[in-house]
Amino acid sequence: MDTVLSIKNLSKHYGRIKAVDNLSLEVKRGSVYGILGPNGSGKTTTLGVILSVINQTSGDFEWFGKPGTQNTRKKIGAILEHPIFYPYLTAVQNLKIVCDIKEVPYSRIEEVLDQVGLVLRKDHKFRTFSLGMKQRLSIASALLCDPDVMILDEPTNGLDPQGIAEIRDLIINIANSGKTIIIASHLLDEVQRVCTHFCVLQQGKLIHDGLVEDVGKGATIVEVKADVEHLEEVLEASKMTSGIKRELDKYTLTMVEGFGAVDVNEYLFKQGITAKHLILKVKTLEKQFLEILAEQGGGQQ
Amino acid sequence: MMRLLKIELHKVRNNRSFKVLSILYIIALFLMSMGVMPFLQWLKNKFADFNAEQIDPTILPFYEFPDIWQNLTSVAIYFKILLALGLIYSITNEYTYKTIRQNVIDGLSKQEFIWSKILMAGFLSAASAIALLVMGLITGLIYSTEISFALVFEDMYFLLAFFLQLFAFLLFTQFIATLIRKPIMTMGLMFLWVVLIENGLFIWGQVKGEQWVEYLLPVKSINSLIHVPFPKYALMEIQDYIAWPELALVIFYGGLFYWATTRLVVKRDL
Ligand SMILES: Nc1ncnc2c1ncn2[C@@H]1O[C@H](COP(=O)(O)OP(=O)(O)OP(=O)(O)O)[C@@H](O)[C@H]1O
Ligand SMILES: [Mg+2]
Repeated sequence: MDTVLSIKNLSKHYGRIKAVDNLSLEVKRGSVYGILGPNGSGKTTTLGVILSVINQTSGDFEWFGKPGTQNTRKKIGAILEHPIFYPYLTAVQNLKIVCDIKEVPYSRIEEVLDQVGLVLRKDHKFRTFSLGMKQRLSIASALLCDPDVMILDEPTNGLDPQGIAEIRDLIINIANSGKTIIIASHLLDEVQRVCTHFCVLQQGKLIHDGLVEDVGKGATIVEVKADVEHLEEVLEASKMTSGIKRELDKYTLTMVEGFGAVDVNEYLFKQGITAKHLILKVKTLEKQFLEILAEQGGGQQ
Repeated sequence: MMRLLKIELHKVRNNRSFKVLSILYIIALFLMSMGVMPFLQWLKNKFADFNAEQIDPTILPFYEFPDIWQNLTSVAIYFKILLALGLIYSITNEYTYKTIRQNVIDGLSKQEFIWSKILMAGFLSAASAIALLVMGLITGLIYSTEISFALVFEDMYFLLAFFLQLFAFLLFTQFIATLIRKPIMTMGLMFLWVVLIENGLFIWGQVKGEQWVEYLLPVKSINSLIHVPFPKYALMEIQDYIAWPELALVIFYGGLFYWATTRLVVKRDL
C-alpha cells in the first residue's frame, strides 16, 4: 500500500494557542481515515493546512510523495466545516465554477446532483437551501472531479437520519471503489462503521492512531441476566471470569482468555440455570475514544 | 488565462450589484462621449432665448481630431469609480462568503485567484478603451471639421494611456479591498485616502514648494497621466502629450499594488 498523505512534525500556532502541535501521521491509499478529537483539538486546522488554506508554523506535508500544489488539490474533493458557495448563484452555476477550477466537464454536474438527490433544486439559488441541502451540495461538489482522495469535515452535520444513512452509504460506496477518504467527525458510531483507520487528537497532539478493527480486541465482555439468587457465586465458581460487575440484576463479566459467551451459556445450563439475557459485548469506538482521552488526563481542559 | 476569466465571468454574471454598476458605467461613458454636442446645442438654444446669439458654445472644439482623444479620455477616467465599486464588491464578497477559501481548496492557487481578479480588471479596462475608441470615431466623424487619416490617428495613444490609468487604479482598488475585506470600510478608506490624505498632502506640497510630494501620491500620480486639456480653450498652456516619467510612475504604482496584494494573500490564512 502506498502513501497518499504524509504529515511530518506539523505545527500551527495562533499566538499562545497550539492548534496543531508537532503532528505526524500517514494515510495509506484505499483507507478510510477518521480523525477524532474533542472540540478545538485541531482537526479542522490540520485539514486546512493540508489543503493549503492555512499556513503552517512549521513542519511539512506531502501528497502522493510530493509537496502539495493546486494540481494535487484539483484531484481532491474536499469540504471544510461549513458548505461554502456563492449565495446568489444557483446550485448548477456554483458547480460550474468548481468545474472550471478543477477543469472537469460540465456534464459531471447532473451526475453528482443526482448522486446526492438535489436534481429537483438544481436551478434554485444556494441562498434558499436548507442546511442539509447545502451539505449535500458540498458533497456533490467534492464528488465532481471523481476524486482520488476525499476530505470531509463533519459531512453529516445538519443532515436528517435518512440523509446521514445516505451519506454513509455514499462514503462506503466511494471507499469500495478504492478511493481514499479522510473524515473528521464527532459521530463515533459513523466513524466505526465506515472507517478502517482512525486517530485521536487532543490539543493539537496526536494521542492515538490505529485500526478500527482493533478497537473490539482485548478482553471479551459478556452480559448475563437470570432469575436466580446466587448467580454471582455460581459465576465466580466457574473460574472463567476475571471480574464481575453488578448493575441491578445484570452481571457484566470480563472473561478469562479462551472463554466466550458459549462457555457461559453451557456452564449455566449445566448448573440448571437458564439465562434470560446473554450478550457478547463488543467494545465500541466511543468507549475506546473516551478511554483514550481519560488516559491522557481527562477530556477537555 | 481564459479559464481564469471564465471563472470570474461565472461569478459576476448573476451578481446584481455588478450588473447595476456596469450598466451605469456604460450609460455614463455613452452619455459623455455622445452627449457633449447635444448639450452644447441645448446651451446655444438657451442663449438664443436670452437674445445672446453671439455666444455660440458649439464652436468649442471638443470633438475635433486629434484633440478628441485627450478630451474624451480625460473625462471618461472620472467614471472609473463605478468600475472600482464593482471590483470592491467582487473581491470583498469572496471574503465575506469565504468563497476564496473554497476556491483554493478546489484547486485554484492564491496567485491564480489574484490573477483572475486582475484579468477581469484588465478586461474591463480594455473594453472601456475600445468603447471610447468606437464612440470617439463616431462622434469625431460627425462633428470634426477637419478629417484626415493622420489627424484621426495622431493622438490615439491617449486611449492606451487611458487603459493603463484605469488598470493601475483598479490594481490600487484591489489592494485596498484585499487589505480591508469589507465593502463599506474599503470604500471609506479609499475616500479618505484619495480625498483627504492625497489632496491634503498635495496642497501641503504645493504650499511648501515641495513638488516631489505629488509623486509619492499613487492615485494623484495615476490620475495625472492624462492632463486635463480644457483650460487650453481659455488659452492656457497644457501638456497635450504623455510624458515618459509620468507613464513610468503609473506602471511602477500598478506593479507595486500587484506585489503588495500578492504578499497579503499569500501570507494570510484564508
Ligand atoms: N483563526 C484562528 N485564530 C485563533 N485561533 C484559532 C483560529 N482557528 C482556530 N483556532 C484555534 O485552534 C484550535 C483548533 O481549532 P480547530 O478548528 O482546528 O478545532 P476542531 O478540532 O476542528 O474543533 P471542532 O470539533 O469544534 O470542529 C482551537 O483552540 C481554536 O480556538
Ligand atoms: Mg472543526
